[in-house]
Amino acid sequence: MNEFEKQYQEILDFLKFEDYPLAVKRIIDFTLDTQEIGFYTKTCNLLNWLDNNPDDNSKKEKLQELLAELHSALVKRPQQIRQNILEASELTKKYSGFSLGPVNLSLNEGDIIGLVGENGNGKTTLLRSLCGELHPTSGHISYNFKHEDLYDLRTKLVYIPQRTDTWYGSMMDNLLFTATSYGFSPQESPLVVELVVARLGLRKFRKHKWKDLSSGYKMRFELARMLLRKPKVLLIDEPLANLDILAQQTVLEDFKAIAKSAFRPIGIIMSSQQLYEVEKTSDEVIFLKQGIQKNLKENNEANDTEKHLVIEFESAWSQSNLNDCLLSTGLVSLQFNGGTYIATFNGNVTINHFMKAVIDQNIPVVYIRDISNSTRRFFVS
Amino acid sequence: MFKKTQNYLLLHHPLLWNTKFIPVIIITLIINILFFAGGYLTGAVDFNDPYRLNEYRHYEPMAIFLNLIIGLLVIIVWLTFYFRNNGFKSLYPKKNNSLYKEWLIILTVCLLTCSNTAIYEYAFDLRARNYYSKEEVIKRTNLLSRTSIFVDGPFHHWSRFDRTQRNELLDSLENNNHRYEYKEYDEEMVVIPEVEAVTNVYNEGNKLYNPEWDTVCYFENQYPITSLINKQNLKFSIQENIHDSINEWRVKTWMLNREKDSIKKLLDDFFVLVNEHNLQANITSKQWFDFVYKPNDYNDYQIVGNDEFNEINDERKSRDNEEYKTRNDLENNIIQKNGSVTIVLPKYYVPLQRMENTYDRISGAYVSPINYGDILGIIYFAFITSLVIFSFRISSVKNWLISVISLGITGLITFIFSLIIIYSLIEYHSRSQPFTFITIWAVILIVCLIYFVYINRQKTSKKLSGIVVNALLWILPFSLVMVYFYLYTYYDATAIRDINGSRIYEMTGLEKIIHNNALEFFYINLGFILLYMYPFTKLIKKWKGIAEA
Repeated sequence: MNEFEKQYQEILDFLKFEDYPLAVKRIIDFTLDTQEIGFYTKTCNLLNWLDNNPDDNSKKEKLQELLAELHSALVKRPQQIRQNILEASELTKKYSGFSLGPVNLSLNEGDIIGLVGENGNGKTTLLRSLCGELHPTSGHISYNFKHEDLYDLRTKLVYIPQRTDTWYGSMMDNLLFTATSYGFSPQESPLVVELVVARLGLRKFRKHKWKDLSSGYKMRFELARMLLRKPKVLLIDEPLANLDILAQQTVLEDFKAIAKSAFRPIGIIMSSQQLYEVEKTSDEVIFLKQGIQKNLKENNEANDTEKHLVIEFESAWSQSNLNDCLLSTGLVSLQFNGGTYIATFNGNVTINHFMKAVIDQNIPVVYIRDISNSTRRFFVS
Repeated sequence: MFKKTQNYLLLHHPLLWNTKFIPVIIITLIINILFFAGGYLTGAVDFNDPYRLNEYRHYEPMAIFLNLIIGLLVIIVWLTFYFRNNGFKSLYPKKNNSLYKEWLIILTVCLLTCSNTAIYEYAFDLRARNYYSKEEVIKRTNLLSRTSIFVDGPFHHWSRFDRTQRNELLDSLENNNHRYEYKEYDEEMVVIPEVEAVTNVYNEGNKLYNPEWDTVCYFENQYPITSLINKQNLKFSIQENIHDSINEWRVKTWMLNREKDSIKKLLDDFFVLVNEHNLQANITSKQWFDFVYKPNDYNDYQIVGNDEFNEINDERKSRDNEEYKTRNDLENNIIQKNGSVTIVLPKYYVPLQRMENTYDRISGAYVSPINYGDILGIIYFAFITSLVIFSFRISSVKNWLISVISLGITGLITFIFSLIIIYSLIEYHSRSQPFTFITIWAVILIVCLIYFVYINRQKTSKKLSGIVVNALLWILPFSLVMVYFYLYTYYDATAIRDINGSRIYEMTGLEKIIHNNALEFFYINLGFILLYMYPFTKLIKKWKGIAEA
């Protein structure tokens, strides 16, 4: 089953379990994939109908009907082979007092790379370097897609900074301006904008002013604009910073769906402090510590011979009590780190062994997580 | 309707939508029309104007003030809408000529906003022109010119006639003033005595007195200098120089040949005009004729004033007695005392002064309805404003402010520096020339240009080019002016030549063209700005893609 069929099945499941908001989002993605005004119009009409008849029982049928049409239109289309679009090798950027790199990374269409690290460790510098805003001190970045000149290149690399600029005037006018600037025809533009707005759950906020929007919705409008810019690479700095947990999950899910589009895949590099969420979504995670790159995969491969089980947990017991109780389970080290304990066990120990020890010793535990394969390990001092 | 238009532009022409071109053009055109209407309404000619008020443009200062205030308001409001979106700063795809088009739009708005005063002036003159056709105005001014010979006014100076102009006494003056004049054809310097210094010596007892100065010669006849045949006639700007002479000599030929009918008809025609404009005279055409038609020597005439309120001065009495009041023909005129001041008013008058005031205005409106010098100033102001706005558009606020401050400080320093250089090193005669100042700025311009091209070729990071690009946008319009200045200075210096031991000032060919066509050159420079901005905006677009740091 190819990527498109997998996504089609997912939408069918959403409909089956009557998860309509998610189903609608994915149907919009398919609609945008068709790049046909006929489908844009149909989906927009359906969205309007849904707005006017939120509790109508025929909702499911109508969505299924449209999905079937979209499926038959897209199923014959060749899916894009995901190619490498960006490659950075030995990239460094030096300021007075700070040095980033050398960084090596490779981004394919449809991939998401997560950038994690403490504040001031070079995440933003790396993103700005990749989007062409900063020129590397040394090393090389190659962009493997057509561009006439540097300006043209930067039109295809969309960088969304943590603090975005204020939008003036109507939100819809701003989005329409972006759409027409990026070559959507006068007939397409209003439809595409409607679809993108609906895709990001912004239909209710179309008439709002920028200053009346919360940070989360501002971010969503930025994402809507980004979608209209048809980027090859999306570089986004701390997109989760001002979002509540639910919004974080929604945005990450959106990123995944956008990046993994069967017909219009894009590469995404995002920075975040939300380690676990980023790790869940990303294909690769890069950790930056004082500008130095640490890749989880490489790190694991390099230390394969002496692989450890690393457990992060929270307990009311003291460090010495815990140490005494866990020594017999193969504990190598126990660190107290910001309210949680980081326990490192030798390679033969599994999380089940650890949990058994907790139960046997009646250790009070309120939180537990295996971080053996997480960049969380890099944060441990 | 308005919303629909804007929506149409947003979908079909995003640049026009972004620049809010249609609304701002409509607003500026409405303001243009209002200024035009204002000019047209206030441009009405008063045909009964004794005080030359027609000449004054009473509402002009208000028009300028309103232009400034309204223009500023329109620009500020427009910019707040225009700056809402900036596709260039957001790195949206742009065609190569897109920035050029954007600048042209800004320029159009600036030109229309700045042109209100000029439009007011144009409408003011148009109103005056609309009273009569040019031919009719020429016909009427010719009539006034001719009749003015028979109304109180100045006489020609004796030196106008081909007479000796000098006497032996003049030659003998120790401090005889003289000037040098270069005769191009003879290629030599000639000495011209300055006789004006002694021409007012009419006293026969004075040793410098020349009896020739009391008489003038017309058609080989001697006339007293105060004869009507020696009267100057009125001149109007619509008349070509040759017409002044033709008018004068035609009337004087009639006088000489005693063509009574022609003179009578002339005065009758004048009265037709007087009646047409409902003006007042206290004599009839016939009385007037009787007062002035004295064919013996035209010296025994009754003065006819050009208005009842205008003081007269009878030149015929001037040499008899220096007491002012006796210099006038008191028997036939009216003496009026205002405190210690005594003035003599005409007993008989025709409303020539009011006619002159009227037709001077109308004729002026035809001769030069547009002052190309003033308009040039307005156009340059609009060009510079458009470039300042455009530079704000393409650079960051921070860089733009740094550019303004750094260029302002540089300007001040270079100005003071060039003053020091001029006053300490250069000869006095060249102090008026801003050579040092312009040279420093020419160097700054060249350095900026080289730096900007270098940054564009390197394509690494913008470095200081964010500031330099603003400086270039503001200085480049003067690049050709600098070249012109150097050529002007060069030719000015080389035009002084040594001929027969005398330093003379002579220019030929290209030198003369450059020297005499400054206004035309400044207009050509506008074309140059329009031309170079095209490749320059393309370069700016490419430059934008370069990394910031």
